[in-house]
Amino acid sequence: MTASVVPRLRIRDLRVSANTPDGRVQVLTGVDLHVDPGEILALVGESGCGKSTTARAVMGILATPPLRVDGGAIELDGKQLLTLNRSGLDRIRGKSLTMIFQDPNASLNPVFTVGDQMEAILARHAPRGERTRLGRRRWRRAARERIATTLRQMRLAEPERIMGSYPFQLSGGMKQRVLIAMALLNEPSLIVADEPGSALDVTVEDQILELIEAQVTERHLSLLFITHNLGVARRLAQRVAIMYAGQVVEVAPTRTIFERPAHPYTRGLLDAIPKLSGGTTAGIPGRMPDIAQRPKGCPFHPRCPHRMDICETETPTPVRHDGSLVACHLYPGSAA
Amino acid sequence: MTAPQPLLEVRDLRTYFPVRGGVLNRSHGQVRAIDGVSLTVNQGETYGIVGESGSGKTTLGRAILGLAPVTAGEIRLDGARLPDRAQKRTAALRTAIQPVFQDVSNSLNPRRTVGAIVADPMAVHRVGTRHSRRTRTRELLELVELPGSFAERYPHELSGGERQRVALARALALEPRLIVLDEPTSALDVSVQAKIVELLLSVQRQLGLTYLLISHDLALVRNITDRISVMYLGRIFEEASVAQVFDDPRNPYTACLLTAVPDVDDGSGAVRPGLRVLPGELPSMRQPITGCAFLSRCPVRADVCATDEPPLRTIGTGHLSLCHFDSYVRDPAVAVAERGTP
Amino acid sequence: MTADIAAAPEIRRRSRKLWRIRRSVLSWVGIAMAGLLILVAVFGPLLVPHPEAGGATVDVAGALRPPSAQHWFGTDDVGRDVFSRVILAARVSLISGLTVVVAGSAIGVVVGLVGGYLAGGTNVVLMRVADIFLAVPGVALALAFAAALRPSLTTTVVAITLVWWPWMARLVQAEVLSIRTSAFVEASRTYGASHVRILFRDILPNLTSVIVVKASLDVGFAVLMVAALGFLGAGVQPPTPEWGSMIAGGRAYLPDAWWLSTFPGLAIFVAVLGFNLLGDALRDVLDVSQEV
Repeated sequence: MTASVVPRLRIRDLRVSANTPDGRVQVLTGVDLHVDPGEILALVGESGCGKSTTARAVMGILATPPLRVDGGAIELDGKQLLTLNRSGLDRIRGKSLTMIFQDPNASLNPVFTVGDQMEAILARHAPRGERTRLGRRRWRRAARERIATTLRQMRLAEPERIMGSYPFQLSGGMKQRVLIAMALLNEPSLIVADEPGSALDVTVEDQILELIEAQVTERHLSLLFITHNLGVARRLAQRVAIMYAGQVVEVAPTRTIFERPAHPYTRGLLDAIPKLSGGTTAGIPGRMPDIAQRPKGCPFHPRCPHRMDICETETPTPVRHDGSLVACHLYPGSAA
Repeated sequence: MTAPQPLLEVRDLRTYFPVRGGVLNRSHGQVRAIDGVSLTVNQGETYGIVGESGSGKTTLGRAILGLAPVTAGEIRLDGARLPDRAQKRTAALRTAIQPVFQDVSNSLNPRRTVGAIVADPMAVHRVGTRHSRRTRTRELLELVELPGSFAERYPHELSGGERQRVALARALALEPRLIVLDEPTSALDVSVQAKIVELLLSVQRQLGLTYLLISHDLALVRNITDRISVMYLGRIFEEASVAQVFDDPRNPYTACLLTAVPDVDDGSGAVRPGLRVLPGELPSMRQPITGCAFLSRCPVRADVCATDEPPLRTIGTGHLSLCHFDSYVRDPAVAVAERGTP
Repeated sequence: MTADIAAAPEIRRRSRKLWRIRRSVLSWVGIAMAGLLILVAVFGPLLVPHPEAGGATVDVAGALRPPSAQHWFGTDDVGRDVFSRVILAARVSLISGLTVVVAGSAIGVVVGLVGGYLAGGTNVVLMRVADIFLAVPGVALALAFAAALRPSLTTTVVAITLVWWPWMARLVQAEVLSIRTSAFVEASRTYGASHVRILFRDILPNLTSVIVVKASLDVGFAVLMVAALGFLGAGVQPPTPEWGSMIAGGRAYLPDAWWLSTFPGLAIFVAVLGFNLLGDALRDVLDVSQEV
């Protein structure tokens, strides 16, 4: 398909484990993903599937005492992220790789104005010597201009007033726009968004999603969008990856996932979600396994209506089927 | 066929919370959480109240349960007027309306066993003996599809979905007539939500219950309710049957909600009005509002909306809309003709 | 029907609690020290080598002897065995420490429960009353009591209790304020549970771990205060052995007969540290497992 395009983000066989009272448990058991330039990939799953862990691993903000990267690689524009030292990572984070967090209340420092916080981001990644060269005042003026422009692009009227405001003076929607602006300030090549808008009302979330869509297109950004909401994934993403119990079980273009889901879990999820057009919903029997007690073989097999003997012993490897990359023994070639 | 009997009636309910501040904590203004709500819920039906944050839907549910104060208006159950505080209601009235809350982590006492929690309402009302209560507890657990052995467990040993089942069992202990469900599934995972919904429907069928479902999730509401009220800033902006709201929405706010919901379907199966709220602030709930409460964000507002409060228009049988116009779709000719209408 | 509730995860929570203690060596040290102190206080007087040391016996010839095989901690200025006195004093210190904490908790929990549950004006008034007691310096109060009445252990304990209960009250009040808005409390209200029932069945059980942790951490504080007041002469009167007064009595003989003051001082140190560590250990176990 786009074989000649170098993916902006490539995650290869990412394995992460955690130290728990019951010993070391696998949190991610080999995640493979990629995001092409200008593309939005939605990483979808229920709580505990490992999607947030994956996002944090990409950003390098995993809580490393209990968690540990056991193997695999993460590449941004070809550069290895996992082997970077602290200063290397600091240079990239906030500049070419930024994050939009879920809860705008928790992610903005309440004791600094929005303008100060955004200025700090610019200052952090300003080219060496630029601040001294221009002189403090001139640099600050230029920075503030840039911040105001970005805020205006977020469809925020009165950017100067917002820059002078403290977070508590802004509404939820405005704060989320500020967070997006912060992520865009240094013109990143990849943004990781962790359920932005899920803490907001649906009409406000709708506007935020519209804004994100527009910005991604305008700036030709890549976006790794974490969500538990398949409807949002459908709306925003070109490709969707479904995670379950620490691994990616299906990746496909959006239309394929929703019209011809290949993995039984994907099908189960789609059946479980109520739709605006009505119709019945059906749950998936059982529940997501505790990571400490992940079933052997395919982690979904205890709940799968198509379970076969091989599913209990062998973990399926991903194979291509009808446009999807799916890890399921139903499809030929999955057995290792 | 006899007309369905109204079980719950809310008449022009108002709940205003004083806003305090300053050194002496003096009251300077009010938040109008519920600002004139009237509705009727019939025996055996599922009535949905839909709205976003600040709409007043949660406060309305709490007022019906007796957990929120009432400033004006009345709530009637089977025709009998309810005192606004649960503690002031008679035992019979209190047990007739029971809740299932959203907060799964907080709705069960962490220090008591599941069995004690489910039996507690019976113990409070001294229903039966200890032994008979234990039997009934097992029956209730079975009804919510939990094994009887769960009675010895503690809440923290249960998953979110299991805890909601326990909350439902507790609510059913005293054979209520009406259950107020405040976002019963929004804290749960998608695959679990569907199972809880299945359970709610099954229990309703078996026991002939009436549900008042409060939710922001339009798709969920579509699937399980019979009638809906859409709330905004303490008022009902549209009230109709499910089919009417989803196939023929009339109020601009409802239209905006329907547009905004990210649906899993490709959009061909449902009405998607394509209307978006205007970016802008919610008006302060403290000032009394001139004109329409939705004015600041309504994409199809007209001059009259700023000056006159909208009337509650009857669109069809059982279909009401709080608006100066019959529909958010404005045929220019129709709009001009209607503009002078009181 | 119940097939979809798959074999629920084994109840591993209990083992988790113990794991938390196992992780911290200090916790076990604390438990050991506090346990030792309690044993000594309870059984010490029965096993003490020189029981008469607790009284007013005088043995001038054997006075001020350094630590030896017969007198592990030496003898004091009137010839009494310091070791025995230290052991005997343990009972006094422990009982007074526990009394302060138990009595103070009783007052503090009641005030905190009432204030936190009723909230509003009542709470404001109660907390201001608590603030007034907090503002009083405990030592000065105890000395005043001692001057007005006869100095005794009772006046000391009363004085420290009066100064300590507000801390517990504030803690309880804050917890109650947060618990009372929980969904399970509201559910109880909807099915008609009385206020009393809600307080005792719903709220109080969720406070126990907070109360126990606070109380155990502060036993050390109480013991220290009793000793401080004993040192100042406002507490237990001689000849009853008490660590603080023993230190005071030994001051004149420092640095030559160092054992008179040093061993009681060490005893206080062990007691206070032990209870502090015990309190920490209890907090690790209780508070965290409370988090669902």
